Formats: sequence, C-alpha cells, structure tokens
Amino acid sequence: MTRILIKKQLREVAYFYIRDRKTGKRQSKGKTTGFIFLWLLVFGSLGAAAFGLCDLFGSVFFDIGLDWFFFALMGLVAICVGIFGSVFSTYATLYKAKDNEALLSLPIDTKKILIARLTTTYLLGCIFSALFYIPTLIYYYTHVTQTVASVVCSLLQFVVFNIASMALVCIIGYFVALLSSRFAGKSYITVIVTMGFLVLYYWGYFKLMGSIETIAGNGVIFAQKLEGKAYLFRKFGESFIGDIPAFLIWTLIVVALFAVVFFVLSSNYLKLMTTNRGAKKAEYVAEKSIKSRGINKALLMKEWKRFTKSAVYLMNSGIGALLVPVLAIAMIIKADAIREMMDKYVTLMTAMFPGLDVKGYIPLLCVAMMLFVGSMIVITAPAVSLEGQSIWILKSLPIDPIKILDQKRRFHLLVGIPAVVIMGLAFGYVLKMEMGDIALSILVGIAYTLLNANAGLALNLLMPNLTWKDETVPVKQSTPVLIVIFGSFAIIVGLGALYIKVLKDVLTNPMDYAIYVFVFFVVCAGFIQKWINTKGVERWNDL
Amino acid sequence: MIVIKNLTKIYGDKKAVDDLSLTINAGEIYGFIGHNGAGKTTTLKSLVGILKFDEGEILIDDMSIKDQPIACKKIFAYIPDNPDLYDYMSGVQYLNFIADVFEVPQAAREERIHKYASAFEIEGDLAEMISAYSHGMKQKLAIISALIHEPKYMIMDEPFVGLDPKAAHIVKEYMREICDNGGAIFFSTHVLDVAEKLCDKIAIIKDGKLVKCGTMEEVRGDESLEEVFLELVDETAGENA
Repeated sequence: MTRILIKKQLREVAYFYIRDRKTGKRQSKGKTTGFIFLWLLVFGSLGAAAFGLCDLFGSVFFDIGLDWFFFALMGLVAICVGIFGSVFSTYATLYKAKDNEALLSLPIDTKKILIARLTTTYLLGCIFSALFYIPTLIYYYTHVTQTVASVVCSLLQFVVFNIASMALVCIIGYFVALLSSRFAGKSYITVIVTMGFLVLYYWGYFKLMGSIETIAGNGVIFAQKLEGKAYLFRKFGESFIGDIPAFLIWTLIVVALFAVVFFVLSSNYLKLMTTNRGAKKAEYVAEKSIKSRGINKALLMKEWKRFTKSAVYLMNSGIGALLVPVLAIAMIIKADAIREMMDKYVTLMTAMFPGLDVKGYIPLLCVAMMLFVGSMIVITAPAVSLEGQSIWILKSLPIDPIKILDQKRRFHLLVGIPAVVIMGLAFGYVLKMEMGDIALSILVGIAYTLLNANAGLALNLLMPNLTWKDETVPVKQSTPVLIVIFGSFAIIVGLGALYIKVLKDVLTNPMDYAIYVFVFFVVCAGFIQKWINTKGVERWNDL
Repeated sequence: MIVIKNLTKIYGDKKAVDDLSLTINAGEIYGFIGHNGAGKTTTLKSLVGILKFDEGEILIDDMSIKDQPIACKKIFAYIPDNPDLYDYMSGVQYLNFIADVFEVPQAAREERIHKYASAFEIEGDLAEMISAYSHGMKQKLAIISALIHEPKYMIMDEPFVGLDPKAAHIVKEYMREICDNGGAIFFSTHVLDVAEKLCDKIAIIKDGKLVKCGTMEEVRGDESLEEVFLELVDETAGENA
C-alpha cells in the first residue's frame, strides 16, 4: 500500500511534465525536450552558484587544514537548501493536502499516508540539496586527496543529512499546522513562520559571510575554540571527510531525531489532517458585507483574495514584495555600514581595474537590484492555472476575457511596483545616488515588472494546468513559474554581461545604457501584451 | 428562445455530441436526460460558452453564443454539476462578486441575497469561507448566485444533487417562477421522477445523439418516463450490438 501511495504522490507531480492536460496523452517530444532543457538550465545555473561558494570556502579552509569546517559549513548550507526547497509546500502537501478526505475514507493506515508523503518531501529536499551538494562533492574530490572512507562517508552523508532536512521541515510544518488548526488566518500564520525562518536563514548566512575573513585569518585558533565549545559541530563536519566514528555519531543523532519526529507525527497525524477547531463562526452583517463595485474592481479584489488567502501563493509568488520593506528598513538602519562596505569594494575594484570608473557603476548596481526585486514577484505565472476547477465561473460569466487577464496583470503590478519603488528609494538613499539616477532605476524596475507580469501571464496561457489537487503544483512546480524565475536571472546576467563585454566603450555613461534597457523592456512588454490580447484570449477561451 | 442547431462536439476520435438539435421556448422547463457519458454535460457546457464546439450553432434570443458570447451570458445563468466555487471567498463575498459582474444595484442585491439566502436557510453562514461549506451549501450558494441577477434562462446540470428536500422544492418553485416570467429552464437530471413531474418538455440523449424529444406526453405516451427511457436506451444498445 505504501508503494501505491508513493507512486500516486509522484505521479501527481510528474503528470504535468509527462501528460497533456487536456487530452491526457503523452506530451510531444518537443515539449519533453523543452522540459529537459529547462531543468538542465536550472541545475546548471544553481550548480554554478554553488560551485562559486565552494571555491570561496574551499580556497580558505583547505589550505589551513580545516576540511571538516568546509564540510560543516557546506553541509549546513545543503541542509538549509533542502529545507528551503520543501518547507513552503510542507503544510499543503504533508498536512492539509486536498486528497486528505479521499485517502482517509479508504481503508489505509494513516501511518502509510504519512510515509508516502514524507517520501515525496524527502525526495523534494534531495533534489534541492543535490543542486548544492553535487558541486560541493566535485569541488572536494578535485581539490583534496581522497581515501575510501572519505568518499564513502561523503556520499552516504547525502542520504543522512537529507533525513535531517526532512525532520526539520516536518517540525516547522507541524507547528504551522498546529497553529493553523487553532486560528482563522491560516495563510498569515504560514507567512509569519516562513518569514521568521527566512530572516533567521539570511541572518545566519550574512553573519557567516561577515566572519569568513576572521575565520580564515585565525583558522587554527578558531578550530581549537570550536573543538571545545562546539564538539557536535566539529563531528558533523568530520563525518563528511571519512571519520567513521563521527559519521556514526551524526547518523545516530539524525536517526534519533527522525524517529522522534515520526513518532510524534504518526501519533497525531489523523488529528492534524482533520482538526479545524479554533475558528469562531464569522458573523454575517448584510449592511457591512454587501457592497457594489465595478467589474474591474471586482476582478481585482478576486485576485487579491486568491493571493492573500493562500500561504503557498503568497509566500512563493510574492516573497519579493514581502521581503522588500524588511530589507529597505534594514538597509536604512545599516546605511553607514553599507556605505563603508561599498567604499571598500570600490577601492578594491579600482585597484584591480585601474582606469575604470567603478563609482560610476553604482547606479547600474541599483538598476540590477530593481530587476532582482522585480524578478522575485511571480504572481501572473501561476494565475491562470490557479483558477483550477472553478474556471467555469469566469468562463460562464459575461466578462470580456481581456478584462480578466488585465486584472491578473494589474494585480501583479500593484504588488510589484511599490516593492520596486521602496527598494529604489532605499538603495538611492543609502548609496547617496542622484535623484535622476534613482528615478531612472525605478523606471527600469517598473518596466521590468510589467514585462515580468506579461511574460508570466502569456506563459501560463500557453502552459496552463487546471487539474491540480494541491496548489503547490501550479505555484511551485509549474514550467511557467520556472521559466519566469530563471529567465529573469538569465536576463539580468545577460544584460549585465552585454554591457560589460560589448557596450561599455560605446555607452560610457552606464545610465545611458539603462535608458536603452528601459525601452527594451517596454517594447517587449508591449509585444507580449498584444499577443495576450489576441492569441492569449483565444487560449483562454480554449481552456 | 434557445436554439441548438446540429451541435457536434468531438473529443479526439469520439463524437461526444452528434448533430444534436433542440429548441427551448420561453415558458418551458426542458429536461435533458441520458445515461452517464451520454453527452449531457458537453451539450450544456457548449450552450453556455464554456466549451468550444466543432459544428453547429447555438442561438440565445437570436444571438449566437459563438459571436456574441457576452451578450448571451448576460441573460442566462449556469449551474454546473459539481459547483467548484472560490474557496478563498466567503459566501457573501462570492455573491457580491457575481452581483458586481452583472452590475446588480446595491438595493436590489441586498434584497435578493436576503430573499434567496433566507429561503435556502444559509443566510447565517454567508460570512463563512466557502471552503467550510458542505456540498449542499455550495450547491445552494451556486443557485443563489445564479438567481441574483434574475436571469431569463437557466441552464442547470444536475441541480438537485446534494440538496435537501426542502431546498429542492424551493429550486423547483423558482424554476417555475422564471418560466412564468417569460424565461426558460434547460436542465439535465438522472432523477426521472423529478423530470416527469417538473418538465414541460423532455429530450433523451444516448451516445451523443438525440433519441427522442417533445412534450412529456409525446415522449412517454401511456408509459412512465422511466419505462420509455429504459426502452430507448436498450433499443439503441441493441442496435449498436
């Protein structure tokens, strides 16, 4: 039975990639090749980023004999990546899945349902951490002489530390599920918990980055200190590099942690899947509740409710907008430290590239930041798919499809543009940029947000998925979302490379280049908009 | 008047609806019966513009659903067999949304929401999220949302499934009221007793083809609707064999 359930879970995820949504037939070879190419692109770009981090740590720690510290850090990062990859969907997949009732009505032991779902959570974590861990291993194997024990331990660790990731994900998801069963604002609880986790994660990451020089400079002393104070941390690092007793200790800890988590979850799983006890019945007051609006506003409000009532949608598609105010405040508070750091980098870069006006590039950095903020908001990419089985409502109502699609785009802009503006102002203030440069950076960011909104909508019209059971499928695992996210990164890197490699000498003022980029975004957005209003509407009518 | 002319809908190699023609006149409650997979839902979805059809024409008050979909949709309401509503809205938010789309004035929507919600005994639940509603409550909400803009025509797919007897009785009353006011109802059902008592006309569909249609008397003659239906279905099955 457990195998059948696992197969069902995996089939649900794989269905979109293998089968055509409408006909149920296998996807064409072209589409399958496209998916494979896209995934290779994702793996390639994240792998490259991971390799860069390995080089940063490895070049420091291998020379001073702190191999274990390299792995302790990379192992922690891999665990965090594993958690990061599955934590946002745990609540919806592990505890409050749409097929809870269907499965509970069948003669299946709830433990088996839990095991099947844990397996997919584990595999999802493995996929994400593999993106990070495989480059780590390649780097390690090519830079340090290996023994049989070090190879075996480092490989087995992949299995073990992903169990640790899964256990931690379950704990976080468990508390979210527990809180959610008692309170009405479920999506907000998930958001708060996840934001807390994110803040903690980034705080830890930046603390580590800030300390790396100190660690490198005082490696031996640091290692000695850790040996005494952080015995387990050291053993964790050593467990990767062939220290068998350390590996066994770490494995034992992980197995014990997982056993406790599994015991607690399996004892309460039925309760967690079925309990919804806290919410007080809402009182209906006609005068307050019934209000007339125009069609456009009604459609916009519909999008707003869709967005805010779903923790998965809110967290995954609007994370940029949620983080921006926090980041802006942090930037303003730490303005002096950031300025100091920037001055240091400017001096360093000037020394490395004499004759280059490094300071002149700072506004371009602001533009890149705006693009980065815009790329983190992916509201339209799953917006059509999220209509799901209730799409009959919009299709049977007397509404011009252009209006429906317009309001989906408008909602994206309403969330995205303030984020860009806030970030632009904060960045401009901290780096003491000129008003004109700030305004231009913000304009480029807004144009990019528009392009992103249109591209997401068009891609979702081309590749819709209306038959999902769990909304994480359209929000997290769909091709339009992946294309928008990674396409955005490719655009940012591509435009940066185009300037530095080709146009630097032609357009000596970087902000002149920003004007061309702005025009490019607006033109692209315009073309896509035209497609949406013609072919896109036809696609909508065919859904 | 609703006119369906030579409607054909093909899925892959299969004709789900095959050259179907029907006319639903003002004042008629028109029942649509057939076995599972006969093509009822496909016909209804094509009629309301949710599904594109391959051949034929559908006219609602002489307006083509293909060419003037918005004008057509303004005068009818559709209730599907399984009302998947917006789980992320409360009942009243959903009704408000529908009323906004149909531009129902404030006073009229207040009065109608009160009238229908109290009739279906869900007024006290309107502030609750739809995700917390039972199947029957969702069905009631879908019916209220259909009635809120006082449609001329109602197209309903299995409207009585999940409704308690009282609610089913109220729905039948509202259906008759719409017809008395010059509208028409076209609905599918598996409950032949209901069809027999409620419908002015009936159409029987089998494997996408219209097998028989007309007034209740014309269709059933001296037999019961159930007997006629079973005979026709067996007959066609025999021919196919």
